[in-house]
Amino acid sequence: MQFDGISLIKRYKNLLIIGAVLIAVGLIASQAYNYWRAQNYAVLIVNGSPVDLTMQLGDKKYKKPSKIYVSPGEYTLGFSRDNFSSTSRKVTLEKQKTTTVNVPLYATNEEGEKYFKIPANQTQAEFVGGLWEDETSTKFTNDFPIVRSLPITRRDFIIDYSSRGELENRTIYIRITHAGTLGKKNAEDWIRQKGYDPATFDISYIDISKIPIGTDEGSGH
Amino acid sequence: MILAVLFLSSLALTTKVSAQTPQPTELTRDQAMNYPMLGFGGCSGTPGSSAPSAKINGKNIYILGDSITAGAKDAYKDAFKDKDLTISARVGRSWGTAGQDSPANIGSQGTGKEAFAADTEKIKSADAIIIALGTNQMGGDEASQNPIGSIITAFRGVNEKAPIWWVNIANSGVAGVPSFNETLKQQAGDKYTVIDWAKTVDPTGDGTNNPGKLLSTDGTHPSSEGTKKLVDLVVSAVTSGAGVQNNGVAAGDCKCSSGGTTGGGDAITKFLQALAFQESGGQLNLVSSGSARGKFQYIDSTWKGVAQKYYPHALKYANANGAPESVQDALVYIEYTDKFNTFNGDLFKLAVSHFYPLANQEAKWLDIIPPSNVVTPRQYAEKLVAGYNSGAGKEIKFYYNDAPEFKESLAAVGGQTTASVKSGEGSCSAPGQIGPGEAAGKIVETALNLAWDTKKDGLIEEKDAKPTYQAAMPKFNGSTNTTGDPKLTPWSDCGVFVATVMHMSGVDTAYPKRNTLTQEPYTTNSERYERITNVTDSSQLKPGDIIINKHHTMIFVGPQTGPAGEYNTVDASFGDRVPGAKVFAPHPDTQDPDSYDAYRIKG
Repeated sequence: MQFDGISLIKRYKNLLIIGAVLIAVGLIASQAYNYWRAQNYAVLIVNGSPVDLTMQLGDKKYKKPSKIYVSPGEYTLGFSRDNFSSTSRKVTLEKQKTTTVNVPLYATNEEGEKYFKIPANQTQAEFVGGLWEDETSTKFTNDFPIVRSLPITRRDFIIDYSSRGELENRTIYIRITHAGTLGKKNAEDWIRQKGYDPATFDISYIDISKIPIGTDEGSGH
Repeated sequence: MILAVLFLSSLALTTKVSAQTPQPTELTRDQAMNYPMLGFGGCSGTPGSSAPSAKINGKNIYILGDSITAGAKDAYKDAFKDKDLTISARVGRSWGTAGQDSPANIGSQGTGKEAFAADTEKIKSADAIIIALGTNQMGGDEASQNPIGSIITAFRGVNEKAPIWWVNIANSGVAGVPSFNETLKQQAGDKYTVIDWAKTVDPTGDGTNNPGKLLSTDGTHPSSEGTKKLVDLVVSAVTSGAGVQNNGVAAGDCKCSSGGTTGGGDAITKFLQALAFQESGGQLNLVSSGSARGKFQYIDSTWKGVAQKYYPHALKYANANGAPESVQDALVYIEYTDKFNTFNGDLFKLAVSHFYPLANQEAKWLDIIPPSNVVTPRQYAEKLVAGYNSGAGKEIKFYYNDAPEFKESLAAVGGQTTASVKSGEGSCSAPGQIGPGEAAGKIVETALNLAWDTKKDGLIEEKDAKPTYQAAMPKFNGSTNTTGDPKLTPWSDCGVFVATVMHMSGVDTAYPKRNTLTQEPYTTNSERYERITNVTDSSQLKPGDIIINKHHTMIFVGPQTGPAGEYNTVDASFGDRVPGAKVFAPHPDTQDPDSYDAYRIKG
């Protein structure tokens, strides 16, 4: 008994047609689902180091998270891995938008240190570390644009700052070291010229003309 | 009663401060000028290595050159239009060969030697002699086609007095050029001064041919922009002694002394830009405590004293604030033209002389805050030197050329301008730097040279990197992508970038070539670096600092202005962008228990 290609097709014609229809329906359904998901969910991208960290999102745990579709809303994401520091991040995920979080975890013991001896893990750490630094610096300078121009030293005043706190609720303290009232005025004028109101900052003033030389006074906020 | 007590307490404090600190006056300024080179805070330069103060004293200029000079003849004529200029230039010429006929040729023809013979009378009466040979049949010994020693001997045989300049060759891609330039430099001594055209074309000295597009496509002849730059360099050298190198001390595009009006780019202008930036941010009418006024914050009595000494026209104005910007610029430019000579280019002393001159005479005043100020003279000078090294205030313009009687007053001190490069061979930022600032300056200069002045998000390929970095990274680092992940290119590797800067600048050629997890312990354990931990305060950083944690590293370059605005740091971000500008605002890194540390090179 011989079977050539054409006779095979004829024999299973109906089956093939059904199969093709099913595949087409599957593809369309998949596309429709993807479209529906993209329209109704938020996208969360996680750049993690180590890459196989665990993310806690509500009740769910994600091992080695990368791209996840999540219902829009505010979340606190937890990140952890054995032998590494753990951290959390607050995010607001919006429908149809992609949010990226960069999460470098740091080794807390020798086992963790060993992990970074593997070149691929080192490069992942630097990849995430660079993105994280960009993220924090950008947020910080957007929250407090004046820091872009500090410190500033003039003949009769110095303005610098220190910073405290977590990423989400960071604060800065402005320190003005000045010589007499004119120095103070010039410092505040400089802040105004930059487009800011000195009254909106937490400023400590140190009038250097009133400090006896050789004391520790005026060492800062 | 309480008010009275407070008043008396305040008075007592003020009296105490006054008793310990002398009042700044113009007298101390003048005194300071008479006490050059005291033994503190000084420059690390080598006495005797500086260039002689060659500059033209007269009108007659003679140039002997080849096709490069021929191509620039019109620009030379224009630049020296107030001089009596003789040019002999011929395409393909060397001292021993005649080259080719060409419409571009000018003046006496034939070999260089033949032109020399034909122009003997012109050379004899020349007040300045410029030799621009070497591109064709270069060679440094007596038997070769451009025997440097014989050529100089020939010129000196007919003219003993006129200063001689020799323009070196800018084509490091051609074998023999570096050695010719090196020979030229070594033989210079006090016989002639080398005009470092090569360094202007290739500021990094790394063989990056033509990064500034100063050469045409043949890699030898200047482009139109290059012709202008070449002629500017020669004019600046001849008229002011600027832009020169001698005895192994290179200046390149840095015009390391000045008595001229070239502006922009010379050491004095760069110093004054940093000075104006630090004193007033370039504001014309700023009044500070102690009656310090104007763009450069002259105290009224100092303004008067400096005007009397250097620029009488400025006496028309009672203080700096009342004077137009051009007059303020003229006064300070003339004063520092003279002071660059007095202090032999020592930036630290120059800075102290502006702030509190007495501290240049007696070291004890260096560490005491003068009345009406907030920093000590040492702090002031160190900050100013750091500002100079990082190009602070480079956007500040000067208008001294518009000031009445400027040229005459400048000429009165011009004969004394012998400021020269103090240290740091091959570094444009080197002149007059002090100890630690020298290495930091090289780091900043190299980092700025290799990184874009904007942020290049999403650009990670070789073609995306600044051309200088494209050339430098393979040579000074050589890292390749070993990750298998195409996005993790070495061009975007933060550690590779920092290492390339450290190697290319020559500051630390043992710096690990990549990987912050290796670099961080290296800097921590190296005695060459001072460690500043947990950088969360804006006052902790200085230009040239390497900022590093376990996962990222950057170079702090101090305040800079790019097309997109202010920035203070350059870095690459692995898989994200090639080296470029960014703002690093010190802040706690809550992810890293150690936060960021900074490492400051010593020496």
